[in-house]
Amino acid sequence: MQVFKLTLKIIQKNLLPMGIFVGVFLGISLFIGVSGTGTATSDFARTKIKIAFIAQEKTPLTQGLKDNLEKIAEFVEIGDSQGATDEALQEALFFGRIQYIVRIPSGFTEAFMASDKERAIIQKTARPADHSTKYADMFIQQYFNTANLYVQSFEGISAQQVAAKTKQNLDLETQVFMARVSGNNDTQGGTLLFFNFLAYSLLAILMLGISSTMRVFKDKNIQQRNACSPLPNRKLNMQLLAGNLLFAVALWFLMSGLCLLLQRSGIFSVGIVLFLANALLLTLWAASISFFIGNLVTSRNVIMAVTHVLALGTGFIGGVFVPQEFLGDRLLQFASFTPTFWYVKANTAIAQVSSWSDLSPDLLEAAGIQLAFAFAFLSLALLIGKKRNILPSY
Amino acid sequence: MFVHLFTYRLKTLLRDRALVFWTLAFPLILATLFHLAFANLGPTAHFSSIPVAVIDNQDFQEAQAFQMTLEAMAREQDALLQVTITDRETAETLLRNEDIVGYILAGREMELHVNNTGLRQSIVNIFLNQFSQISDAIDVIITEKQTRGENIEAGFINDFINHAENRANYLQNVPAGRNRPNALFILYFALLGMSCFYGAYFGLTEVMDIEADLSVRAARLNLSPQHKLGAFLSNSSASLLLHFCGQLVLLAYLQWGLNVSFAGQRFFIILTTLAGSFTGLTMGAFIGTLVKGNYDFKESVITGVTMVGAFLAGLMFPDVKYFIHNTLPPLAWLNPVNLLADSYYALYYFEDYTRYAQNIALLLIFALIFCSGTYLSIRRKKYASL
Repeated sequence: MQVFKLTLKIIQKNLLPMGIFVGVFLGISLFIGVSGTGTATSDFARTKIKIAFIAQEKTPLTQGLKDNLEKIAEFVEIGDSQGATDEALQEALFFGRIQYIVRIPSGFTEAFMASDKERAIIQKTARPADHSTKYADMFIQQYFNTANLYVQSFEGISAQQVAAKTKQNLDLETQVFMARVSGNNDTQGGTLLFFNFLAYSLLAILMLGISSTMRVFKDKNIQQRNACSPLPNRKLNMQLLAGNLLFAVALWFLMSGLCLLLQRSGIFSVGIVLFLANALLLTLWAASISFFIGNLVTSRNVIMAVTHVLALGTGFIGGVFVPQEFLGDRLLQFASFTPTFWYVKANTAIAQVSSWSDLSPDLLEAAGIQLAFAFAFLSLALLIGKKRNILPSY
Repeated sequence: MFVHLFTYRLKTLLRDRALVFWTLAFPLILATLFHLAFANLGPTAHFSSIPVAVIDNQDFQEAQAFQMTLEAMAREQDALLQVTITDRETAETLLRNEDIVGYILAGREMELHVNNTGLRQSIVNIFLNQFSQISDAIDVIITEKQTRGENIEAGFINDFINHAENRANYLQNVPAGRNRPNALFILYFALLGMSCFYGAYFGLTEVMDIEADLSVRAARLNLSPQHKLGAFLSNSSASLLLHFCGQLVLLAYLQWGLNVSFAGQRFFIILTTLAGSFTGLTMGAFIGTLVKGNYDFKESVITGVTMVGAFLAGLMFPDVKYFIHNTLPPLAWLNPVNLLADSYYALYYFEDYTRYAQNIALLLIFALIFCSGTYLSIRRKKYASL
């Protein structure tokens, strides 16, 4: 048991630098978990887009557009009554006070009613890389395409009538019914983000922590001394592994405790239990990957670089930072060779679960695959450990 | 002497092949992954057909326009929806098994039954909205025409529906700030910012190799007649060169490998990257001298500071940056990673260089603080024993 106890001692000595990592990542996770609680409710309420609506003319048509946009937008006033300058608008876009600018040039309504396709153009500026603004695009196009039908059909129709009729049409909306109530209604957004982020933070912490523990055993002198001892290599590796696993599980306990603090509704609800179980799986495969890397690599700087690449990289393609829905199919296929992908997939499914009967076979599949990864990396690590410890004869 | 020390430091650094490889490989791998991850968010976003079911009830039988639309869709190559027409029970089973995203009940006001909220469900919802709104408009128009007693010829309805389906474009996209072909490259600035600040590890290594109580190599260096500061400057310059070259490789890869265009701002981007690398390096050195502890501890402090800085600069989740700017502006100005990120963004957004200059100036002030701090810490140190 000496190696096991020694491993724990080494970890204890490293506790301070580890503590900083844990603190930083937990802090970030908490921030996300708390502020990320979006308006993800069980109906289709979307977060409203912040729009600066700048109209250089005021007609029933433009007013109609504005009224209609209120369904999806929150209007933000920029500048004073004279109007907003271009610089002020750019600043507002830059600092995120607005996401979308709509500019209606004067003479637009006239051009529109005359079906002058070239002059009836509205200028829009969207915040780059913000895909929620595409919905605003579609909304505006729909408004004018519908209005255009009236213009085409009735000669001499007034803008007022067009606006009124279009409004009536656009009040028609599909009624959406959720077949079942989404699990974890209030905390769905924040909790899901919190647990997804764990795929990055826990992996990074474990990789850095476990490899610094392993580095002690990789010292040439220590390796040679150990080779002389009566303790077989296999047992040495197993004890090393056990020590590291204990550390990993302790981390999981810490993360779980923190998460429970975040919870407002039902500490032992199905969702939370499943999230925690999935996180335990994450801990297992993250620990085995770290153990594998720790056995393989010894240089400090390389460990740092590998950690960042693996944790951040798999996080990106696995769907931690950009939801899996938005990732391309081929990328997802590629990502399915990483355990992070399956972890996030399971989490996304768990977020929708509201009772034990909702368990889908997909969840079990994802869990199984994560376990398989853990097992695979462990075996690889033990194999490498065995090979490495065979020193050349003197 | 400077040249001599500089050259040999460079050689020493390059000898650690693993370090060189990973300094280069890390940002390149991340850039590739970024590119793959964000490829589907661009204008050519491609989604596979969304499976849905339509309930075959009386309403559906009567909804001719809807049937025609669905049939036309089925003939298309890359259809938006993949439709199965079935009865309610089968549809509910399909939905439960997640074989379909939702099922539709036709009618004047359509009904959509789904399991969850999500992108695909939203797309179906939008499609149904648009369809019912246009259909309603067509109905209203036809009724109105009939009331007015206008003649409706035989092919009119079909022509009209065809016309309705030809959607015109009423929006013109005015880019935010300068003329940019692809807005997504703003996300790559996050990567550039983060990787500039990884120069902090180089800075830390420099301090480790110059402070006699931190490493054996440094102890030997301090015994030599070479002035400590001179050695530190030449060593750090070598580190900076190496790190900066790594950044240039990343920029080149972004420009030519991934077709992320920097349209005419190349000079300023390189300048910003140099400033960023320099600040990162000096920050690492500063933390190395300031923080007491072993190498692992200092390394973890650097990682922590860089991570927190990157997070607060919105490099992982863009909304964080906006949140901070609007609630706690001083925090934005005190975060060097954020200043660097904002410098890049300012190049993108604004026509003039005022904001860019402001950010770079503040960034360099930070670098100056780090430099002075490091200098004051390492100068004239004498050891009673080591």
